[in-house]
Amino acid sequence: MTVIDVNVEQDSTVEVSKGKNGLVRTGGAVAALVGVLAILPSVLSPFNLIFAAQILIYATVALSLQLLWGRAGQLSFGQAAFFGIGAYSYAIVGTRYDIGGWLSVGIAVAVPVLMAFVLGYFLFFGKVRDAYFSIVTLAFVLIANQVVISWRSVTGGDTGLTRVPGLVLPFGAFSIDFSTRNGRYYLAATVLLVGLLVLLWVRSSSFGLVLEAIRDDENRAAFLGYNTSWYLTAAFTLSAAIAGLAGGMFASVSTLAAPDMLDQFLSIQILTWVAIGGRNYLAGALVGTVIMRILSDQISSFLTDSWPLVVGLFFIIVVLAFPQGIVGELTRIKNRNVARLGGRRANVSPK
Amino acid sequence: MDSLISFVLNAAFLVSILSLVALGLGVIYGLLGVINMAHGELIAIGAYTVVVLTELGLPYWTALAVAPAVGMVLGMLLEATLIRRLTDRPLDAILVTVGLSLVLQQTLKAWFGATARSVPSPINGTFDLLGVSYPLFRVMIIVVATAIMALTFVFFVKSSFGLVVQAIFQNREAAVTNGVNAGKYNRIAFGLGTALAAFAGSLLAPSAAVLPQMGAFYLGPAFIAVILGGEKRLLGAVAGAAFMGGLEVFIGDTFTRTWGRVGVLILAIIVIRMWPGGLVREPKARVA
Repeated sequence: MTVIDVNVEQDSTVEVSKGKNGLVRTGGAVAALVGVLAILPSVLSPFNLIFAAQILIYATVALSLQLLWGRAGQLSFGQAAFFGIGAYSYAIVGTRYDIGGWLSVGIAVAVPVLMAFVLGYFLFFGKVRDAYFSIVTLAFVLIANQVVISWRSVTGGDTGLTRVPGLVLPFGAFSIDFSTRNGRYYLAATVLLVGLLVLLWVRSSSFGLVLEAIRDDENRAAFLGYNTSWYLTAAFTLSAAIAGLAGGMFASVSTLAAPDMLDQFLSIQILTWVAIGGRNYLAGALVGTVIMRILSDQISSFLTDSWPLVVGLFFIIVVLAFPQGIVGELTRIKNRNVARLGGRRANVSPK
Repeated sequence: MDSLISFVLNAAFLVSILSLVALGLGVIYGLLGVINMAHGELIAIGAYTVVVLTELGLPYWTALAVAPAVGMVLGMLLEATLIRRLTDRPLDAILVTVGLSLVLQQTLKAWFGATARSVPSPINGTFDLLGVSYPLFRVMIIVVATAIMALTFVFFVKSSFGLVVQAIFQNREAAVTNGVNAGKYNRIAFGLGTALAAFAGSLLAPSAAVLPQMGAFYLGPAFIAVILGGEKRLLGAVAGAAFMGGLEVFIGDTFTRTWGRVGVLILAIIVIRMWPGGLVREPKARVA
């Protein structure tokens, strides 16, 4: 249980930097992110721009897992299930019923939300937690994958659905066309920012603090009068909502929905992104996804099929040597230096 | 009647393989508290051992004896290099074995290619039971797997090694205080678990397509079998495997194979939710 102790300590150091100062810093980081996102289209080639768009959406899923795993302490192998269900919901209503616009976005979010709420309510109120929860989410992604592959008449089976329409969102008299090449990138960037802002709100809200309390010691949180099962169900549902939104928009950006958007391998990949970046930090999910997607892409250009080998090795090394991930390790180094210099936060003992 | 007999035989085949896999997982989870996500790759390694040895001209039976040894050695090596550092970090152990599973699978793919290999069946005849003919080799697998399981139980109940393992299951700290070298037992138990997986793979090799990812099919149900059975009871893992395998074949025969898979997973979720302590109810002190 030493890991948990380390988490608490590191988190408390993070808490110290909150308040007015932290708000300014968070605002600055988001502004910098928006700046980078705005510059990318004029720097990248059209091909790389779509690649970047996909990374931004993957990062959104990673953020959604960070909420459930890093903040609420429940590891899910099923994040790809909600991503894929969002993608298929969007693709099915788009290709079969000609539904687009806000309604299709709503459906891509609502279907996974409904499923997550039912599953989460069923599990968390039955005291299913930790390893048991992880295994059940693994079963869930296996079920979803089987259904998608064999329900050919609706999902297209192994080939999935192609020529999924892009998204056009009406705003009163105007409408924004997200189906053009740059439009798809801006859609991905918007999805990421929406997800990030929601999760930043969670981090600063009492809801997020109760989730952290449950992660650190559920009994204590329950003694304080919080209905922990409701909080966990809510976290699971919100996480599925963001994953589903990301999935639906991924289908729109890449114009297809395929079974590999909804399998255990993608679930595990999402897990590696979050773990490598740092599971206790929102920035960790972002950094981990960007680094690992670019790394995978670079490796696959000369190792064709064996990039999972390198990813796997890298992942093992990071978990063994830096259990807090890249961002966690950087935070630790920074805190240690601050303490050594006898700064204001010298009382925060570094590990 | 015919369909009943073929159902029993098909179910017995799946259950015997699944039981070996679940038993291996259960030993590792019970003793080390590690959820071994790389267990499926050890099934594949067992199967590939048979592929390599039979291609060298050795008889299948020799390969059947070598495969668990390969699994055991590899498992002990993995324990000594990686798992040993993670026994008090259960979550990181899941992550590291996930990474390990990627690495092993890709290594197999690089070595043997991504196309399926096959092993000729060592016994070709069929076996007639009340008018239903069934491949004799599959009957042999059921018998051998059951025998190995029985041996494993005898080993855990009767041998002094098994007694110490039971002591660690019950109370690790007390066992260590009484002079048990827990590290040694961890290593042997991990090796034993991976040996069982490799053995299951070597039994499967002649009747399945040998592929790097072949173990994934068994891993999910085997995990659920362990949890259904209750985490620290070896007999529970076998009971869980019987539930998962029997039901999958039953639903698969009655409806379609997809429904078999989906239905059994849904039922497993419900069972885990309703009986979190597992299906096998036993006094706390018993292990096997």
